[in-house]
Amino acid sequence: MSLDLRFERLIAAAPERVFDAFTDPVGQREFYGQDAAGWIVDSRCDLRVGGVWSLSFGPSPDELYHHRHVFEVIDRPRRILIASIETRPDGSSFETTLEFTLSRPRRRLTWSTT
Amino acid sequence: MQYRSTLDGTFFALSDPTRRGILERLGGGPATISELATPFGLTINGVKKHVGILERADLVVTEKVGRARHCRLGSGSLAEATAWIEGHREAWESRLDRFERYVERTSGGGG
Repeated sequence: MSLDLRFERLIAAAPERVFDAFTDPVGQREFYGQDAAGWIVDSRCDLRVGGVWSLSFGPSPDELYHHRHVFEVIDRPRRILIASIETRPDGSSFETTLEFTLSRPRRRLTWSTT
Repeated sequence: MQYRSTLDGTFFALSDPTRRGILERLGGGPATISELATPFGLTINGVKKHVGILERADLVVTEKVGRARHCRLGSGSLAEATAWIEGHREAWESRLDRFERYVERTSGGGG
């Protein structure tokens, strides 16, 4: 069964700016960040089709979540399609597809997981 | 992992509209296999197959009474699946909120 979740945000910035923020190291760390003291985000991104964006994040080195994203489509600034494996600290994992789309003129960011 | 295999079974069981219909029907009270077959236009064997998948996911419990097999809702897995989905949804909402604030903060509100 696909877990079909869809989120939308209207962002007050040009689509190119939103896309670039999502694909630059600072924006990517921000995306997975939290304000909690000591929160860890280790992000390494090879931004190309077939490239891997790997993340380890969590409240402590003993409790880390891992996301391994493989870029399937990169179409600046409209769309990114990612095949993803998420692994939790307990070792459980699942696969999902993530899609990032930006539409003009309403600057709507749609993020879906299936 | 047990956690994963339980949820995989639950999600797989819920992926079929007939099985969701069977759960809905059992939400109104227990039924036999043959009572489930009629409204869904299924053969007895067809219902048994669906009920077997639901049973392995602990969504349905069956019991042989005389010559009939009685089915009723099982325990707990739906709540676990719902909690998992909700946690997943909250995590993405939180990331997108944070990302939105970051982009707007660093773009001077323009664009």
